[in-house]
Amino acid sequence: MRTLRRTAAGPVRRVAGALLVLLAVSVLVFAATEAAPGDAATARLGPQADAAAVDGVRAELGLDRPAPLRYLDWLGHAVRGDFGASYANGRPVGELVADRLGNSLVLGLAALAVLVPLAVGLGLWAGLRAGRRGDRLVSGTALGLAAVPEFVTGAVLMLVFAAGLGWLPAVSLLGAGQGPLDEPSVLVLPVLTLVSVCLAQNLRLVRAGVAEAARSPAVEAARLNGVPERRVALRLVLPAGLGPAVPMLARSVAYLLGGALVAESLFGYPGLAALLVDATASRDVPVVQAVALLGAAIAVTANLAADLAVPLLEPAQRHP
Amino acid sequence: MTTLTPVRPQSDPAAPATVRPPGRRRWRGRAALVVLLLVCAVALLGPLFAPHAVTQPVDIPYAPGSGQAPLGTDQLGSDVLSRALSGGRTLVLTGLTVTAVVCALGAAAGMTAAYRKGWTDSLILRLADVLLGLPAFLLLSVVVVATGRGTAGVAVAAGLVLLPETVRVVRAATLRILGQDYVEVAIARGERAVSVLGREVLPNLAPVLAADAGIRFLGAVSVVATASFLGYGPQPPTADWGLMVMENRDGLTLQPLAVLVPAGLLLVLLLSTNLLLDAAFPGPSVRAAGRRKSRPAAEVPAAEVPDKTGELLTVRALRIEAEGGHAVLDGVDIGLAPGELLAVVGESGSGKSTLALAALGHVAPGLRHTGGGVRLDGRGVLHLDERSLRRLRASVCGYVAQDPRTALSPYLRVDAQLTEVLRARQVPKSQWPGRIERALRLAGLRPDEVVRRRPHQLSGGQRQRVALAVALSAEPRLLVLDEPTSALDTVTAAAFLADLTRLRHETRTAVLLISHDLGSVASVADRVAVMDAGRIVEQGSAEAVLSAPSSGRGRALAAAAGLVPTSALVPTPALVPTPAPGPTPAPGPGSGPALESGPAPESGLAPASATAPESATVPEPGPTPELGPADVSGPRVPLLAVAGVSLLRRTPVLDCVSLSLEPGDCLTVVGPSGSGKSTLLRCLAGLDRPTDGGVRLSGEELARDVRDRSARQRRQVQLVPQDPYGSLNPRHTVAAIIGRPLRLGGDLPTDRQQRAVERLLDQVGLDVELAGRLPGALSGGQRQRVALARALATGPEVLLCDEVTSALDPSVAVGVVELIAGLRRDLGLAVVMVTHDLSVAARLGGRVAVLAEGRIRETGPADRVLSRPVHEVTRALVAAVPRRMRTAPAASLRSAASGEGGR
Repeated sequence: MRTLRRTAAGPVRRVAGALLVLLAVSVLVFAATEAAPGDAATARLGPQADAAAVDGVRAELGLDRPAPLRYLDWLGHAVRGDFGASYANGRPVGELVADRLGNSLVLGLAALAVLVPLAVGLGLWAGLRAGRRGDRLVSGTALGLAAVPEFVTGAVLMLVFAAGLGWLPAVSLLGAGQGPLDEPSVLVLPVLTLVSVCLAQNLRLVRAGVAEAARSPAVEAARLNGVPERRVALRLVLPAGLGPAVPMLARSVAYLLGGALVAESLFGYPGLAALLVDATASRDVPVVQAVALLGAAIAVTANLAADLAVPLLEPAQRHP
Repeated sequence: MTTLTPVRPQSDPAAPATVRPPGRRRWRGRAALVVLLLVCAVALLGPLFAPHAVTQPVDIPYAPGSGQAPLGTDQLGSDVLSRALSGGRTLVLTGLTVTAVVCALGAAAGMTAAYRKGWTDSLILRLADVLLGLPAFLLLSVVVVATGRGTAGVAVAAGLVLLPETVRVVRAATLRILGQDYVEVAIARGERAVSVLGREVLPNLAPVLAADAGIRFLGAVSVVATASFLGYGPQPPTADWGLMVMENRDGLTLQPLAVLVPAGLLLVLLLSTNLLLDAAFPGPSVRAAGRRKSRPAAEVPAAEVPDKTGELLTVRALRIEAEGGHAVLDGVDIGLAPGELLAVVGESGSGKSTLALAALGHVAPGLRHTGGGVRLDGRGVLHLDERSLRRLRASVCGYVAQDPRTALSPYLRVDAQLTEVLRARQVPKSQWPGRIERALRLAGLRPDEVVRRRPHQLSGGQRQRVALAVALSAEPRLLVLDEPTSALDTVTAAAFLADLTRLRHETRTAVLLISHDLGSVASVADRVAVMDAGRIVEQGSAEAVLSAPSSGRGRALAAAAGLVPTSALVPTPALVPTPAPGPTPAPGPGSGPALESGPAPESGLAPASATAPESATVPEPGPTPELGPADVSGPRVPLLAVAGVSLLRRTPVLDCVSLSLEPGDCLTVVGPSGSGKSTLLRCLAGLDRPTDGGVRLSGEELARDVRDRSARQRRQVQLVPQDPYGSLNPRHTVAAIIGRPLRLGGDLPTDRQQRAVERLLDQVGLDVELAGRLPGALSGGQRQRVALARALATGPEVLLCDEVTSALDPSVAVGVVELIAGLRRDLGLAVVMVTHDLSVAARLGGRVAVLAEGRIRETGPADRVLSRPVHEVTRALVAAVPRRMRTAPAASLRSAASGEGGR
């Protein structure tokens, strides 16, 4: 009975909690961007405009209203996908973002497709050998890679594979009207960079869960009852490695899909990142707001999915 | 961004050191430290040694190395060496500042959240959630939009990115520490919040904080450098490592050094920090999982075990050593004929589990087989390769692990647990349903009720039976049971042993039964072998070992089981070999039908016929005849009066419990697990708050929360927690642990305090030399005595003991119980002892209250309740005690009571 009540109430509460977090993030984003100098009025009139003209446009756009009202107005438009016009070039932000989002998603999904099997496979392999040479090699390498900032890993990869060996393009620029799938080689180095950054945490969590389960009395009992090693690994040990890794995986998803800023900037990949970095440098508030909210929505959704998935993977954890 | 989270598991202060050679780790740590200091020196002092100004063009852009610019020039023709020497200072200083601020704020917020709980906790956690809701570099971008580009904005952003994780780590660690018994004891003796956090929590939190600071430094440097790379930080033409990588990447083919030098410096800085962290805070112990391909026959002298005809299992002169050469098993000889039950009995650490595993051909990692041999079904199992060994195990043996909480995989349904074994034994699929049903029935379960469940939906007793069914499903000829009852309460354990006897009759399987409790296995074993320090010291029929143990260890085990009288309780031998007059027969061979699985309140689906307390003998809730509430109008006010205490959670945990105690009284509260015994004790101590009813001490109402009680009241009521391994702060010496309540109690001069500590140690039978030790260096029994001394330090009138013997070996437990009995006699303490072990009640004398499902079911003098139980729950508890044991304590109790002039 308790199980039933929990499984019914849990998801509702979690979804509500996720929406609240998203709302709070929107307040944070709005409040932070309020601090930036300039607004739509100065953007429209340019820096040389006189104060009276700017005030006129402010009144016209409703920018002279108190901040909470403007927030509600902004949020109301935002949920409908209307983030206003870019200060930099006057184009609607929605269009700007949509142009780039597809490319970012392709990159993120490609990285995930490499990351997940690699993390689970290597984690299982290393966890079953916990403490032995193979495990120390894999874990040590992963740990080292995780400590290195992405742009350094990327630069080294670029140096070796593009500048040194000349196998792959150093920059991932795409021609007009070209998608990343038309030129898959541009994806290789960014994907490798992203995977090297995300691999360690995921791998180590899988490995830790696996190593712990592999030493558990249940697994020892199964072995002593003659259950073969392959069945032990797949049926008894692997689930223990997946449970703890899922929340981390969700964060990786958020990171990979919500704009892999550094990898995109380094390789000049035409995704959301270049848009965001330029907008941040020029304080193009509407663009930053849109990308930040989009990233937050992806992150919160991924975390929510992980929260909902963990109980399914770890039945025992819900019932200590 | 994912690189900012701790990559290694947080080191647990209590975790043992890793098995990797500490020397190598230390050496690596030192090397990492030297490299780290070098890089930091370059970063901080480098600007002083730069040969050129960072903005001065010395050559054409992207020129290779020359005398003028040894590392070449960058995209503006400036000297790469000078820029690299100058470009790390801001980075390292910002990283350090951010780390310090984040750790200080995070520690404060995390500890506050964990300590205050409630809305403070929720608020802090939600704020952390919001910050985590934005991926790190999006948060960075948003903050930089607000603050404008520059180091200050980046530092603020890095702090916001790193803070939530620190708060969570500190909060989780604090919660874990706050959950320890020693913190509860500190709260119960009236320590202020500052003192609890400062004295009890912080010393244990320090290693976590140190490790966290290292991880945050890594994160801070990463974020700050990446922000520079993105152009958010220092603006050109400032020299900065991150910025240099960005600026010069277009010239990668012409002048790779312009990118490689700053990137390499960053790499070395971060990797050396990482290595240093790894060396300083090793993760939890990782033992190399022993897996053997094939063993060279020469490794162990081929002392081939003679294949005795007829024996299923033969162990001859078996020697197994630990890493240091210390023998865990030394010259062990046992034999087991088909269908026989051999019980191997010994204290923990005597090597009995190692023997059980060796019988199945398994030598745990860290141990080595160095002599003798084991033959199972005619094959030397310690010399088999992995594959043949597995086949042999699948076809011959079944194994049941000790703890039902961990013995089953939590991910598999009961039927899947069994099919894995059936598959391993290559039983055709068509036979599986029949086999599963038969095995579950043999183990005393109803198949249709359990097959579709997962282990967490079963009670402890049911789980142990499922584990037994898993072992039985392959129809083994040898069943190895490693302490199958030690984690079960007495009633469930007795039922389990009774079922074991029945299934032996039905299946004719041989059983190797490992136990620390001679009393409980006596009724089921054919033969008993007593182990002590890796040797078999005594072996013979169960009868012989029980009634006339020849070895010292055998006598000690028999005494601990209550089979041989102990001097402290009984002046004359009082072993009465007649059966007890109890109405229920003891479980034993022929006790017939399948017994119920243990009580399973959480599943709510246990067999309907399970121990049904709703019988005619259930007393009405409210005052019980013998332990009524304090009679206020009477001439005497009881020392401790409990009136109608109830505690409602989802279901009633305590339901109108009333009792009273006079000085020198002893009340033993017994009951099956989950009956509310410990909760009752915690209500008396003020650690759990009853929802109804009240507790009076010498007529004064005691506040429900211990923090609201007066200092005097707190001193008068002292709690000794259950687990001696959690009740002493691992960072305080014994003297500090015992001295703290003394110092808190009043203005005792330091020299007097030291003498007082020595007196207390003496009082609990400990050597005064232990005063300087940390709890980690004490045995379980010694720890429990220290916990007692700490309770006595305040000069209490009521001593609340929560299952103080359950974590101890039987013979050690006997010593502790006798100590408590002695203290009660000598100091006139009123003792409330909670236990699931009736022999404790018998030893202590006084009165017994039987608690089940939150209500007192029966009370009375100990000898009456134990010899003539009235209520069904009591009868089940008494029946669970091995038959021969019940008579002796009852008799000894009578003599003890009369000798003491008991009430």
